[in-house]
Amino acid sequence: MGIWDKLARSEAEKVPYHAPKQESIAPITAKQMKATFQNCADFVMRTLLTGGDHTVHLFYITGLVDSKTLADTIIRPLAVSGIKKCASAENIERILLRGGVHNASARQLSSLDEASQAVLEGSCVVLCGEGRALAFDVRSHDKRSIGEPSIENVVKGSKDAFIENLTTNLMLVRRRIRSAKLKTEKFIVGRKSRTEVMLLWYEGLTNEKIVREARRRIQKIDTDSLISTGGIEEYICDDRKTAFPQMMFTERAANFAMNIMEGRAGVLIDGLPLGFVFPVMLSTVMRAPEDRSDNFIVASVLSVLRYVSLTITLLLPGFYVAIAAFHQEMIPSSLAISIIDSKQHVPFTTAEEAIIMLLAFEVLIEAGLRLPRNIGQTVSIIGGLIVGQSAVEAKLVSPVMVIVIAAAGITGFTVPNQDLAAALRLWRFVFVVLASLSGLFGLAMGTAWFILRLADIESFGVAYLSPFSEGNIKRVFTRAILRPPLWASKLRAKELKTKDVRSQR
Amino acid sequence: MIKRLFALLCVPGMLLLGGCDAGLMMPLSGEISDIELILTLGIDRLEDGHLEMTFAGGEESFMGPQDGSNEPIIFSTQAATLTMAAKSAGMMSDKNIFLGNVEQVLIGEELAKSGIEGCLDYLIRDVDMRPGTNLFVARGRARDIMGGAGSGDSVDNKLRATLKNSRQLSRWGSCSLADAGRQLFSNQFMVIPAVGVSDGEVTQEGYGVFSGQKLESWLSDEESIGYNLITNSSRDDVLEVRDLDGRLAALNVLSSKVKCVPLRNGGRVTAIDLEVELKLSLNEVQSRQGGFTQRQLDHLEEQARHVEEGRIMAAVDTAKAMNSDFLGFSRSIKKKYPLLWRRIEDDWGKMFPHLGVNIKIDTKLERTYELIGSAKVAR
Repeated sequence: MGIWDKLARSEAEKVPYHAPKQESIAPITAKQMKATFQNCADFVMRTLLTGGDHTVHLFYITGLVDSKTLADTIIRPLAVSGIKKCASAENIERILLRGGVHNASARQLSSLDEASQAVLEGSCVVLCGEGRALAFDVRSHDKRSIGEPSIENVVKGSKDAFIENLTTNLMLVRRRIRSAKLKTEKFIVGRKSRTEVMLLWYEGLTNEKIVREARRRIQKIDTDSLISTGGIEEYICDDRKTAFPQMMFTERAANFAMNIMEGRAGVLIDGLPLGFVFPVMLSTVMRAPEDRSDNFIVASVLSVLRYVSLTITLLLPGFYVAIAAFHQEMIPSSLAISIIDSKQHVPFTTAEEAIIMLLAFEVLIEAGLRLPRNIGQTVSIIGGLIVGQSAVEAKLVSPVMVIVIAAAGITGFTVPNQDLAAALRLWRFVFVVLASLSGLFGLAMGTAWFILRLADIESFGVAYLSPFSEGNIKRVFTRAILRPPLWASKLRAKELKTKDVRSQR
Repeated sequence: MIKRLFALLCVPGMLLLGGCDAGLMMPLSGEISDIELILTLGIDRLEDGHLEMTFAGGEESFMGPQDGSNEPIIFSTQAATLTMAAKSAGMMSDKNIFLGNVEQVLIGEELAKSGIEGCLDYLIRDVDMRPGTNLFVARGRARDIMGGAGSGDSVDNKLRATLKNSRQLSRWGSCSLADAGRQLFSNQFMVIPAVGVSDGEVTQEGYGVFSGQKLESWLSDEESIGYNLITNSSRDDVLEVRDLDGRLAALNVLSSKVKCVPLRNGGRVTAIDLEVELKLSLNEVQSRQGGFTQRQLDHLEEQARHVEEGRIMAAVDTAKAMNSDFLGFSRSIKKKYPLLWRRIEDDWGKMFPHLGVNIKIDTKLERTYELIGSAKVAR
């Protein structure tokens, strides 16, 4: 049991767990509805007089409904249609269900909870009589327009990115996969937030086990709300104690659709402009979205460069600390002289310098992210250039260390997946500490630990290090390190165990 | 469980295997800024039998006086053993004397004559020293050469430049600590490049030939070229010969390859055939006018053959006179006739001075500088 499990249990023991209440089967009445939405200023209950003394009640929340649609498709027909002649609630309900109002959807409601939920989802609930209620979808579609992706910049390729609206996002995917075999399954996650989560997969292609497992894990989530990405990521991933991404997020609909067509499953969440795909391996998160658009030779060279950068960003600070503090004989004499010259009068040891600089680098990144974009750039300039240069001139850090940390930082930015880049940044500290303890031996031990840790991870049953862990060099190069020509990539990734293995003739 | 087991194994491993420092579990780290980087090391034997170690750093100021002059310091320590001398050096600086970056080791002439086995053994076993460190034998005292060459630029830079320049004309070469050790401990003859100093500059002084662990003799320029040719260490050379009209001509040696073929007659080696393949290009003829004729080209080839034969014979004659098979003829015999070598090995010292050496030089003038065509076309 890990420290987090222990902490969670010890805290949870102090507060009793209240299981979710059973759905109320109380009949729907106007009084009950009013009571449910008491003190909700945006809740509207409107009473319309029909034939005779009979009345119908309309319930909705302003802002969630489109008032023009409500007036045109529900209120106007109610006012002018033959409903006036109906005397009983049963008749009114029957007529409304069969076209008495001009709304595309109509749903019978059976309980108070159901009615409340329909109102909260943006429907107009029409109460015909006690216990007889219908919900009509008149939700407002106020949303951000589809824009360009902000973190996955592309030159060649579609530029429409997901927005916060689930329906729109689903539409963007459907536009790319025009097939009835693209299956979607809706879940409501969050007892209080009632967030819609959509599971997508391609029937006959995606491994059923992956879909079943994803369904089981999403259904198992029992939390109050799902507002952030972690709300789904951390709950349904296999290994919860690692910083490495086990689901790949993308804000590009094209990338999402491409992954679905490769045999992965995906999740879209209402309110989040991102889509998640799984299972993923290290080689998946090392692929840039543009790899498929670029010429395969160019993409392959860039891919190799990315792996080299990954190694540099991870090991360079640790390696420098190891050779500067333990293995000076490894450094070519002329370089050793330059390093010694640059380190004269610097009061910190190499390891201390490295840790201070790495922390400073992290602080700069964090500050740049938290501040508005324009000010963020200013922070980078002040922090990176002015403070950095001053620190070197004041002999607080050596110029060589600045170069090492900058090289490690810049190469880290070539990693396409931000979650992976963040995980690598954390591991960089581990390597520096191990190198400062026992030089290259510590670095070698750290590398072994790192690889073992990666080998321990699975994403929905798929080994995270595959195809590297298979020991098949040819597959390592053709499936991970290089980007093979599209016409030569006839088979889908073996690791995904897709039903349909071949992707082209 | 496996992970915990792995961690349990790793942590003691890191503590125990990380270093050899006695008394401390963790390997001892030393900040790079706390070390005194030694780039050139000289070792001499003094008249009283003591050993003198001379240390020289680079041209950077960290080693030199702090007056901005950038003059590197050269300092020496004397003791009965190298270990004591090296330790004494540590007391002359507030930093740790570090031999891990030594690029050149100079052995003084006196020490070389009295035997370098102990010195070489110490240097090879030193954990910091690199096996690829260049070894030189000094004509005179190593300290004098380092001191004489250390003004202006560092002795390290000058030695490095000299070594680099040696590729231009094959009169010199290099020998690493590992090579010297291998030759010495496998009872081969050591041939170590020699250095001297003249007007503050390091000079190439041919080679020092060792018999066992002691310096036996020096090779002149001519003999050194011959040695380089026979051992296939010759990289680039220029032959200055006279053409038919008595004018000087420069022939560039494009490549040279020597094959050493032992000839046997029954149970004894009768002679060694040195088959030399020489490829040349004609680079310059003083005041020449008109095109080259076949006769002229043949004459130049003949002249080149004559020069190279002289050089090879000079080296062979010296080897025979010293009764020192530093040219490696015995290796050729051992390689071609291993069983025969086993029989004659003990008598090789007696046989070698009387060994016949036949030189067969195949000279090819590959091209001239004439644009109208190659030498072949002209013929």
